Amino acid sequence: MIPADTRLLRVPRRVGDRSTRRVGFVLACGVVALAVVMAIGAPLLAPFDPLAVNLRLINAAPGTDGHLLGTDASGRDILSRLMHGAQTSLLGPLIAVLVASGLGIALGALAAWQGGWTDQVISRVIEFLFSFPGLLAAVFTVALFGPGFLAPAIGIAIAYAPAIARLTRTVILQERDKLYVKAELALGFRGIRVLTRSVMPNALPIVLSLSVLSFGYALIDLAALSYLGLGVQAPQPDWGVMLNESTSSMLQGAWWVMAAPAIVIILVVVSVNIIGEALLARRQEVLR
Amino acid sequence: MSGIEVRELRKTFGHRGEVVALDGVSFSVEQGGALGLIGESGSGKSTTARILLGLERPTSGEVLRDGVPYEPWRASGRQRLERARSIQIVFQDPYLSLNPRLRIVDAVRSAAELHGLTRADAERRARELLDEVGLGIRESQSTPRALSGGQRQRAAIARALAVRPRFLILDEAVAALDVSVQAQILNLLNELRRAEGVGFLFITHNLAVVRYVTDEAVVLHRGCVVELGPTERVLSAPEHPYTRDLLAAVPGSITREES
Repeated sequence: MIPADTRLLRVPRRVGDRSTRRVGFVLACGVVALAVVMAIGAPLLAPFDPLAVNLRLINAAPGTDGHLLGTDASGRDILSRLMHGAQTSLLGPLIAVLVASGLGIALGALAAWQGGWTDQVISRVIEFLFSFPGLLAAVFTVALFGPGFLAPAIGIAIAYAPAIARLTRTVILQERDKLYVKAELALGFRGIRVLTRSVMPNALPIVLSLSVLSFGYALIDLAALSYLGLGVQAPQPDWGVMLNESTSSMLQGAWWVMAAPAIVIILVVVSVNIIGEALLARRQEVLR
Repeated sequence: MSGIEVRELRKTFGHRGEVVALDGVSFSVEQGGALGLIGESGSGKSTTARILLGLERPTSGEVLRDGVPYEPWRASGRQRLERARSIQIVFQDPYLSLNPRLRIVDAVRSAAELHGLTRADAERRARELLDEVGLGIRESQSTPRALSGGQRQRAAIARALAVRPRFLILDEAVAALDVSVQAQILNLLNELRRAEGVGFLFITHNLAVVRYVTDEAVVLHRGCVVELGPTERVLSAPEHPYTRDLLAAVPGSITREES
């Protein structure tokens, strides 16, 4: 879940000195870049067909017969499934975050800029949505539109939008009171121009780092939904689906079948968090 | 008359109007004149300014421009530009009054462009204005971050002048600056008044400034006008006890000169 209280979005406590943090940031960017390359290049790069079943080679240990990460309970190549699975596993959160950011920024900006009853109505809606657990919202959309790739992503987007809307509202309220905004309005610039060309560029970078951070949370939530069978459907490769399917292998002692998608998810989420927090910290430094 | 007049301005805040910011304020300032608006913080000086700029609407009372009632807070479309040309403001804090992302020259140019100049003409006008207020090419090309408080205040003045306003409100505009810089800015303003006929409204609690640049003064106390008249008279022979307190509270030159 995305942190409900955006006050939690303070600059992370600095771990290590400047150079170690720099290394961490570069590594994180590398991991994310690698995941993206895997997703885009999967059809070309994957050594095996991700759907090819081989019942004579089930739960094979990593390295067996050219299966670098081994095979799962149906004898499918885990590495190839990870690579193909990156497509839905990354695109889902991306869509969720884009929709949530678009919705949240538009609502938050409108509420903060208009004030009055517009703000009242939007703020009540935001509060109502906040009292709704994100996963539950996603389960509802799945119930409405059926399981698959898009429905859970939209559900997560709706669940995440309030946090982004609230942060947007807060930062734009702060920015709106600055004197340069009053000066520009007094100069005769139209309100909408001052909002979009001056206030938002100054206020929104911090919101965008929340968006980056929520990508990681969305990835976990969507993987959880796939794991529960509500998201991407088997046999399509997806990291959440792979986790789901790995339970039987786990019982037979083939831990690597579960470890592979789990480690990939953790690596990507941690990397995205490192990047998001670095952006946040940089923003704070600029402000100081 | 030609100029700006406010009549019986009232402004209250809070759900039931329990906070009274302005309680029937009336005064006028002639075209090309300079009026000092004096009072301690909370006396209603800045609220008056915000109403004149159209940033806030009064609870009651009216604003007249050249003797004709007009509502700056209602101005939309073309009227918005007309209002902007009636009156502009330079704020106290030069660190917050400029958009941190805009280069100085772009801030001035975009204001001139908004008011009907072509991009090339606006660019030329911006350069002239920045030159006039004493900012060089290098300062003009940088963002506010790279400038000192005095330089920023000059930039803010240039930006306000870009729309060719008839009046300029200076809301404690020199209070945050060093004394030597204050004098430079005040001289610049006096020069502008002489050369361009811009009228000034000085909002300040600095009586030395009032004496130096204004011909008339209004003393505000808790949202009411307690004294109004020629600056010399108000400062040398105050009639209201509050004005006397205000003068007595100033250490140094002013009171000593009088005694």
